[in-house]
Amino acid sequence: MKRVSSSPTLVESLYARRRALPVGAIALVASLAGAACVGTIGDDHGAPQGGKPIATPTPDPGGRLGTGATNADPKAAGPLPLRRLTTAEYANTVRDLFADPTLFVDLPPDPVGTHGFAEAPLLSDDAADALRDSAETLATRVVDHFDALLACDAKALGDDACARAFVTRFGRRAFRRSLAADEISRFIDLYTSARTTLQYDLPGAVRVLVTAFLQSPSFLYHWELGAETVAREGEVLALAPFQLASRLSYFFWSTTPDDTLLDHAESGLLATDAGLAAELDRILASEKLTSSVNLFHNQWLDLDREVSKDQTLYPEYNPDLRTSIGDETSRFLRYVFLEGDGKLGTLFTSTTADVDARTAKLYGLPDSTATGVRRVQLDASTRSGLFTRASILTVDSNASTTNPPRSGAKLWEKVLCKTVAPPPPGAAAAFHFDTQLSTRENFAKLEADPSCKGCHAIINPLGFSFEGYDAVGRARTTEGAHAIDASGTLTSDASRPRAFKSIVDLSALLATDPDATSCVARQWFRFAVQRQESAGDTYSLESAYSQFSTTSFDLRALLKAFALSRTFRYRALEAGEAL
Amino acid sequence: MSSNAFCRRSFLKTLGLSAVLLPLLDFEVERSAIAAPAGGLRKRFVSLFWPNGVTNSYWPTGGESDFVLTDVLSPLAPHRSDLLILDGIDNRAMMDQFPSYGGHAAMPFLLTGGNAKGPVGNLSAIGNSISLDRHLAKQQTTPIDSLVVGVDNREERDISVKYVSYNGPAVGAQPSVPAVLDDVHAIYTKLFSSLGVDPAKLAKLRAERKSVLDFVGKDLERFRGRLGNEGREKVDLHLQSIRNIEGRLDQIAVANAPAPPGAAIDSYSKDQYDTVAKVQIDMVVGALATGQTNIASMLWSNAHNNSWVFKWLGDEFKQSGDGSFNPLRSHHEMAHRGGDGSGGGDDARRKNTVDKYFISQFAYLIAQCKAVKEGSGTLLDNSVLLLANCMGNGASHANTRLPWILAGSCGGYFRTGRYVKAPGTPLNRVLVSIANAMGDPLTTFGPAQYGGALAQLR
Repeated sequence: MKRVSSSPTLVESLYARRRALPVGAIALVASLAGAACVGTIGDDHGAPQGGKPIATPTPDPGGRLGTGATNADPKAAGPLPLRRLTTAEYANTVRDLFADPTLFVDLPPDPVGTHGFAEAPLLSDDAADALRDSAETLATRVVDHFDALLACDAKALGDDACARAFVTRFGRRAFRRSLAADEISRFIDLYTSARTTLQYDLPGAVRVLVTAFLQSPSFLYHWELGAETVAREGEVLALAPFQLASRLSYFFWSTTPDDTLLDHAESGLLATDAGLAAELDRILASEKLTSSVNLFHNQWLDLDREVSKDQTLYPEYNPDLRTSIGDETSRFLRYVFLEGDGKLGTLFTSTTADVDARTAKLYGLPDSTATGVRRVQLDASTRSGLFTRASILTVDSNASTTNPPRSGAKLWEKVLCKTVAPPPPGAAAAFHFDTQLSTRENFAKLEADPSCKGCHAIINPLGFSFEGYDAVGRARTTEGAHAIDASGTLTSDASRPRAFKSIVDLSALLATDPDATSCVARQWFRFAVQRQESAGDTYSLESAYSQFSTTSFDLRALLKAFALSRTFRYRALEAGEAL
Repeated sequence: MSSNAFCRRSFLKTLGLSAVLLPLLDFEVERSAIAAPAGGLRKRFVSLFWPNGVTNSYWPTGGESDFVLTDVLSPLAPHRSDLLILDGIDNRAMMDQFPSYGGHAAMPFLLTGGNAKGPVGNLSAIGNSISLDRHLAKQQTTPIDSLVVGVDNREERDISVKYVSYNGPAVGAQPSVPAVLDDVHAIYTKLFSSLGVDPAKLAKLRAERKSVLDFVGKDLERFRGRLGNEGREKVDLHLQSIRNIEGRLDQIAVANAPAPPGAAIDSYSKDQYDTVAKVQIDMVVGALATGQTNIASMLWSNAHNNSWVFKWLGDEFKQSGDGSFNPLRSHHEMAHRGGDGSGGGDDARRKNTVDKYFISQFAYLIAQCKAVKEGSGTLLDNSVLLLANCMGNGASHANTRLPWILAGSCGGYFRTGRYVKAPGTPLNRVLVSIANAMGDPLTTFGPAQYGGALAQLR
């Protein structure tokens, strides 16, 4: 793996400073001119149809990176808003905390935050209830294996000594930092009261301790700051070593730091550029990287959304096939990020696939009766990269047909970071699907309609690139009596329109397209810092993009550069914060 | 052993819960009659949200008292004298604040009256003030201040189309909302599970919970000290919730629980939504009847209902739609295709069938409330039930002429049995009337410019 050794402040880079518009200013400056558009008929899942001001663009959707010099401050850093563990993070965390991968967590999935990835909701009574129930259920379950949990000879050392040792040891894992002496005392008081007032035995009192640990804010929130003082450096603060350790762990692994990472935080290793870079190599080589890689792609491209298919047309589509399709994508991501070269080009164009019998059949492979998972090279003319895999093809299609505007809008918004407005109220009622025409011909009608073409002239051609597949992702050359036409023109750079024959060569174009590579970098950045970009991120973001660009778009180099960047290791002071 | 206790035991057995620790057992349940507050019986407010508007085939004909229910409204015929069918309610606050928004963006306005916050990021506006159910909840002394339950809400990830109930202003770009409870088994456990449990065991469990919650509360107080303003706002919401559930441990409710839901019910199976919705109604009415809560808000399901497929309404609802929408014949697709209902086509007929289905669910809620005797009348007489849609005409996703219906006189406050035409009325005025009926004398709700109680309702 290519090593990024220099600290971000030493990285030579060229970058453009983007001005972040305050939300309130958007409506005033927005207009219907230029690329503004008015509709993606039939697709308002997750985005309210007619529910947004027609001409209001996404606040600071993000443009190209690496386009020229700016005066961005290399010492600046963005904010670190208080966030609670997401349900996915919570589940991974407790499984690691108790070394029990079978622990079941019964918490609801999180909604999506403004940065486009899962964000735990603000607390309410019933959410606190759910966290309490979860803590009680998990604590009851883990004390079943009490000796392993306590890891202390109570007969020899005494109950109280073991309880204290447990609080210190388990507390460090649960809080992802060392506990201060008074924190330990408070837990010991809780333990003592459970033994005396409630008359619990040692396992009962430890269960109470675990219940309290799992409801404590130091467990539930990403804020691994104990009693240590925090030094201000100009307008920013360095993250405490344990905070940085957790930030690394949740970014790359979506789970709690392991003991080694905590040790390296405590020893001061993470505070040096060389120490941090070495730790990053260890982190990036871990199988746990797949957790974050899967979460990122599932949320970025909405791959895990449940969809239904018309059983009369697609009788083979069932939960088993759905699982197989998702597993194939997960294995492909693992191949790219852990086994392969980690390049965006590989992600977008590789024909390598690990298929089981069901996906093999779906992909039209010979000898698809073989059992188990096997590695194959897919037909490069139809399957090349992430956008040609059944997971995305299935989720973006309708129950019976493809949905080119939705597929096109996804590329435009999520892969090119451009904006597309939802259709005006009532637009969908005016659209009628003519079953005598092809899907492409139906939606192409919208490109002629004056009130629709603003958007559809942009998103339709991108969406038509997926027409070489049916609604469950099988390759096709005809749709009924109609020959498939998946060709179009990529117009994201108006000065340089580029023709493509299908998503296969469009994927290759996107792999080096400056809008797409910038957008992928921005998406990963949002995932890394769990918020939208802010002004203080500019230098860090541009520097990391420079690394990405000079490594032929090596995603691992990009992720590593983010982790080494100023804005990842420092944070802006929050208003009202007392140091 | 009472039959309730028996049900409770077998219910626990089906869940496989440990006898040592019974998760979710909070307030103590006694079999004494609940004391009525001074001045009469307890009053209740239940809202039932559904999306996608209606066709013109919904609206009654005739006058205020001699109105004729259409086929879509016919399930309400047995309850005609308990109804106020409202005609002319507009989502004025949203139309003023966000003139280009369609009805999918309306949820943050329906029970708050606006204003909302937004747009946030890539989404439409999010709720930014307390909703009427949560406002009234703060005045309650019941074990649970209010219930929020929903069908098919869990998978909705978009915070701008997911909630109607709000605890107060948004923090940053996140709405402050009660969690939406959806698993009927968990709801049953939350509401009724302490029945039949050994009181000594229950007391010990509550003592343990108190000590842990007290610990967590103090932890949160320490934790907030070094945070900035936004961080403290978040932790304060957390702290308030911990204090609330801690306080709940001291509450006492009466036992008159419904039967537990059948173990085979899967709250997340699309094929079972019809059953899940009915069971949730049973739970809510049970909670109202037993004094667990006086306020409830039900969600069916989010602002678009994209994934409700009404398989139980007949074979044609199992087929895929016409190609422009993703799921099988979803409510949302039918709403767009249904037009104004006057064409008499299949699309309009199907949308009307779905509307009639939702109306029949509301009729079921009314019937269940009527089945509970209270004083000389029924629970319904002391309640106001609001059926609230986020749209008017479904095809255009309009924000005017919302098909809202009130049921129950709320202790004689409302003069029911009428079809009330009040064109151009901001929905805020209905919310003020409900608050007044519930005994809260407020004069406006949401922005004051949208006016006070709607006199025509009395």
